[in-house]
Amino acid sequence: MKVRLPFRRSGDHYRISPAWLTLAVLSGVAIAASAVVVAPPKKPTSSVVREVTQSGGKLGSVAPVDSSSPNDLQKTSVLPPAPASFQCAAGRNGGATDVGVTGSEIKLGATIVNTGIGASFLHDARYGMTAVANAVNRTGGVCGRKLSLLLKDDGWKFDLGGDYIRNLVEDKKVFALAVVPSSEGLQNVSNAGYLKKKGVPVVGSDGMLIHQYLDPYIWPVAASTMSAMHIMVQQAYDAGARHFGIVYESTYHFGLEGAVAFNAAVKRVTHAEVPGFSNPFKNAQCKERFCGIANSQVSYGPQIQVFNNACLSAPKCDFVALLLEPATAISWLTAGALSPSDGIRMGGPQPLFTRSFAQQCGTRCNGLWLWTGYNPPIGANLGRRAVSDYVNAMQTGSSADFTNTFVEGAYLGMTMMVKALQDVGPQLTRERLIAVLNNMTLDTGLTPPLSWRAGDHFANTRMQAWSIQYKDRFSGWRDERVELEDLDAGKDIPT
Amino acid sequence: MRELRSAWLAQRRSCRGIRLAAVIAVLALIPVFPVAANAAQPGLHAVGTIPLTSGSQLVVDNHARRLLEVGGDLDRPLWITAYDGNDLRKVRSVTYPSYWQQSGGGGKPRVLAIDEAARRLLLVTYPTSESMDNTTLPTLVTINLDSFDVASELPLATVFPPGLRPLGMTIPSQNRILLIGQAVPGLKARVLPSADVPRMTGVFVVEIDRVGGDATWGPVVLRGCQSAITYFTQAEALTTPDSVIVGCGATQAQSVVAPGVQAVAAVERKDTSVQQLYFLPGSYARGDVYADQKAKRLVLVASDPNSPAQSVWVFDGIHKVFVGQIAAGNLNVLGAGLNAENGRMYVDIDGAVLVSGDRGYEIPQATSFGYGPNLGAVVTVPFNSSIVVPIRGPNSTWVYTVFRDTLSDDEFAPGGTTDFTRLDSLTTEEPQFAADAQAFGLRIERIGGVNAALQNVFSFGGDYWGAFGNATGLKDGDRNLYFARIRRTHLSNDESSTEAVAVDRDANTVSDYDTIKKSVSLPDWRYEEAQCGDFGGTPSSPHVHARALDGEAPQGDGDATGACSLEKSLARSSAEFGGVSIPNLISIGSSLSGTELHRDATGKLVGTVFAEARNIRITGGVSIAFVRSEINVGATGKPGGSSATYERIFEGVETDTYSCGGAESCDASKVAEGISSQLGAQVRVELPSADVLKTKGGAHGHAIRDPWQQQEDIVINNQEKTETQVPALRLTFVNDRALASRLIFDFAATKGDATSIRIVPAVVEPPAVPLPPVVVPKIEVPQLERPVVTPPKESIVERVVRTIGHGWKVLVAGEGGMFARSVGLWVLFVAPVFFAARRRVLRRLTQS
Repeated sequence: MKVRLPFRRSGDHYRISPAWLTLAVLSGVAIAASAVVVAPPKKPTSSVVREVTQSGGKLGSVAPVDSSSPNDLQKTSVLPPAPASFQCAAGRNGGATDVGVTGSEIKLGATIVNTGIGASFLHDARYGMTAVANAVNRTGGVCGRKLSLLLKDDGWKFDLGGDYIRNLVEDKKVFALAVVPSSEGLQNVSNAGYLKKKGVPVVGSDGMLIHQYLDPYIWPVAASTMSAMHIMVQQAYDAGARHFGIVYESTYHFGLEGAVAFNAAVKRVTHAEVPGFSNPFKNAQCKERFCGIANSQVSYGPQIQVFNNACLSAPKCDFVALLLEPATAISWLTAGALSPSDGIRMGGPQPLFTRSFAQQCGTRCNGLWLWTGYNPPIGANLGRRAVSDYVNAMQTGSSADFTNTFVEGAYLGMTMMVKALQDVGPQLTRERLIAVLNNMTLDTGLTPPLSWRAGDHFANTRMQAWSIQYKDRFSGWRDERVELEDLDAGKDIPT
Repeated sequence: MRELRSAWLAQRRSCRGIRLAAVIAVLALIPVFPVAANAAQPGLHAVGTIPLTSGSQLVVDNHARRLLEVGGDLDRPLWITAYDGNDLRKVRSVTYPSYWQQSGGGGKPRVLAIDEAARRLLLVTYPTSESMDNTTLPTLVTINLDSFDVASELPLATVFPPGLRPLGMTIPSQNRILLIGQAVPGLKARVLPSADVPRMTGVFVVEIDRVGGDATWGPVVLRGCQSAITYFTQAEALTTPDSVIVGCGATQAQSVVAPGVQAVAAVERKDTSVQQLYFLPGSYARGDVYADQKAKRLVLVASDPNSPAQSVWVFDGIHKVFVGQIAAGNLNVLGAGLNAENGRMYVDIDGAVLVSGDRGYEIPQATSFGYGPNLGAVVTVPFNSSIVVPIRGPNSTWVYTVFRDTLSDDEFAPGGTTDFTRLDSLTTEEPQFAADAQAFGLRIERIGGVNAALQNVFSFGGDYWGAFGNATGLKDGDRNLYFARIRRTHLSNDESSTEAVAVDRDANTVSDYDTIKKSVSLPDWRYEEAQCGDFGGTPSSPHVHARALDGEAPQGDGDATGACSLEKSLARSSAEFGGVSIPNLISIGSSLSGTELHRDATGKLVGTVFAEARNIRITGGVSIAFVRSEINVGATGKPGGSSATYERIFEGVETDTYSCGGAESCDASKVAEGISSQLGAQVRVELPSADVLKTKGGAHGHAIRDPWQQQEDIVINNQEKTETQVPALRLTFVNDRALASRLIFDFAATKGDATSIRIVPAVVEPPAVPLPPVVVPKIEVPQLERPVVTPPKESIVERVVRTIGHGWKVLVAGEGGMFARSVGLWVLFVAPVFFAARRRVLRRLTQS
């Protein structure tokens, strides 16, 4: 066979035939094209504007996981096949496949906050849960099993909440815990290793405390308080801030661990700790620019003086984080502490993202940036399908404040629970539910797509900023069009 | 060696075409493949400047895609310069020596309108510079937009006799124009100090036939409207099917020497005697008004540098409510613009341009883009989504910069109200129901607090708009006090709960109480709430009874009770309080409210809610013995099974112009009219509307606050979204000026809803075959930090072939819609190859 070579010699020159030339160029193009197309997605940058949403994993390290956990036994998306006789329908679903499961019912439990100080922002969260459960039950439940929600009001109390959760698990025999808006009781049982011991999954929690991300039996839907602090620092630094200060809540755990995360994040970008830093778990005090305050104080005068003096001395603070719950934040700001109205860039976490806080704080909070891990149901977001569906669901049969981020989180958390149950199918067991949860991706439109993996429950690490607009009156939150990924999710966890 | 080198060089020369093709390919790949990586962020992008003359005005000709600069002043007659809207080049310039136009700005705006369908530009002009200065003999001139010739003239002297100045013009329909005019007292005296001056004061509107010049509607004087809002641009009127709406910078609704309250004035088309003022706060000294005729929205720009309360308000002309406010924070509002095609708003503030939309139920707060310093009106160019913003350039000149707006419409997508009728389409196999109720006997709201009241009443060096600041030491913001309040009663298939309290207060009032307590001897707050919740199992407190915290209930104090039982499907509560008095203003004898939600014997979910206030006496000669509202709602989930009523009852009303005795003889609307005429224009008397709905399918019934009025309450009065009670009567003492300052009394307010989803019995399945015990196989997989997808191993040859194949597939098969884009790329790739080959062939031919 005669093979035609691409190059042939013609006198002093090597000549190439046009056909081969064309083929060679096209092959080169094809290679180049494939190189571009199959190239892995770019790693997220620190600043991601929402319209240019990029995919890609987080760069932050993953929290260590107890290797003996059964969680680690389920690191595949492939579930063992259900027996052929099992079908996703009433009467054919396998019946009582695990604790709290019958052929017609799945028993779920949660502690809620109907009374006490936490009710100011956690009260309505239960309506987010029941809205989803009712919607699922209307369509026949999950594989013919209706969801039965057992709710207990623990008043946001650590001990009572723990007792109620134990009661739900041992006496009421719930299959799993859903959302659990009352975070105090959840911390109680998680710290005690109770969930692991009993093998009870907690699905769709509010992420206030970092233990929820570390416990292999809890799957939070929210961005953590620590992520909020990382992101605040990163955004402020990118915007030119170099001198940081923080006022944190020393009464509650979220304030302590958030303060640690803030200091660590500042240290990463400025190579220096926040002036006055001392470990808040050992010594929570208000010193220089690292100021811990308790919510029960009658007056914050001395602490305000310390903090203001430190922050206004050269070089002045150019960013201050306000890691407080609403009542304490209002008391602090209205008593004369530095505020955004003094021309200082300030940021706050999710619990401050409420209408009542903005109204009560008044002019002092104009321009305060608040961070949330959800698409809030305000302004133009109300025109988006997922958000309007959520609002409609909430306005059916309740007067719940759907703008409350904890209500939206509860709705999202319960949606996650339902999706996981549906993915498990008729052969419902805790073990299979855990396997599904550890390979789950949830795309509701209320957040960017969230993915959980065994050993990595930091699904929601992206937050967006909205700022309070208050001049003589509260007129709403402005979308600052800033959405950032926490590149350090899982770091700085206090031991 | 030399031979090898020359051969290599020859080959290199021969491959020049390949290298060229490769370079082009690489360059071409950059924009085609990673499109997103280099795409500009959505936002405002400067695309050029346009050399406008200061004081002129831009008009957009969308049809011809041109920008028309309209100029002229006391020294120069009317002139028009046309620019190409895309490349911003000057296309044509025409001067009209016989016509002089108001020079624009400061209360003498250029009055004009464009009729794109007829290709005409309409302008109000004057025959001489002097007549323009004196506002005499105005003429409507029509200019052909294609030829720029004057098509017609129409004298307007009968509509605008001396002393009346035209301020705005819109085209409501073919052959009609609507003009806004205003009496100018100083002008009258200077020009015509005779008896010929018409007896018209304030602002008026008139619609005329633009061919014959006859008035087809009006003129109508807007009662109480002293001046129209206009500064950079002309005053615009919003026309709706039933009314004409204008922005008023000052009204006569005032009780002190301070300037009048600002408002939107609406006049009914059919009966021009029916007019209404809708008050709003703000400083409009340099404000403008824009009409969005498509969405029937009026946009009011409150602007007055360094004064408080600068923002942009959106008024809905259909529902007659304010639906939103775009705030500028502590910055000055310096101008604005509205793209009436898509409702996008642009607001100049210090160092930035804000972008938002005026459509929808809730107006989003604007997005900020840093540009500036800027000043003046923003001209919007719908045909290519651009805006023209005056930005300060070198040597204090103004550079009219054109920005392309690349923001998606999704950014400002309008949301709507909840559609409850969809509940009829839902079904359930087991009972699903929920009912909710709220009520209070009396609510006192102090909008703006003490500081806003002082701001509006006192002048500072003669300036009522100068910032007052916090002179009292008390917090800014609103104050709310509720009496006989039931915060919420809820009954559903999984919950029975209620919260009631005799006296309830907001956080600002708590703070005030504590502040005042430091200097004045006051008792500790003593009203606890009655709260219970039953979520199944053991109720937290099945029956509660709250009194004063110290256990005593002295005369005049209140009480609250509640009962919750999920088992009995019952939630009930009541609250009451005694006398409340504000000296020299108002006193209320007592207030009471109650709720009961339960399922009756037939399974129907039923809710009853009531609230009352008694012995109300208002200084100025108004007394009301009894006012009550009552709601009854129900839902069965069966067609025709839902019910909803809202009833408003008055008894024993006494005013100078109206009185009635029993409930049957008291007509609510006449009661409101009587009180309104008694208390004067500064007190707004309302019978708030209830949205009463019972769905046909029986799934839902409710009586709640009209959602549009509720939205206005949120926007103007900082109402919580969840407070949807409907008061039987509302009195608003309006003291708005720079700031919103209102004292609102809501009497006997109730809200109730009931939802019961239609039950469809489950399909009876044949009994399932008993299944063997489940054995769940233990899944054992190696531990991984993260799931990693490992591709199957393949040889280097396979990888090369696969890679080339994949690229080939992308380019040829058009994977992901790539084919269309790659056509251009193909041309680029092949062209140099083709030309290189052709060149060689030609050279060979010529050499041979």
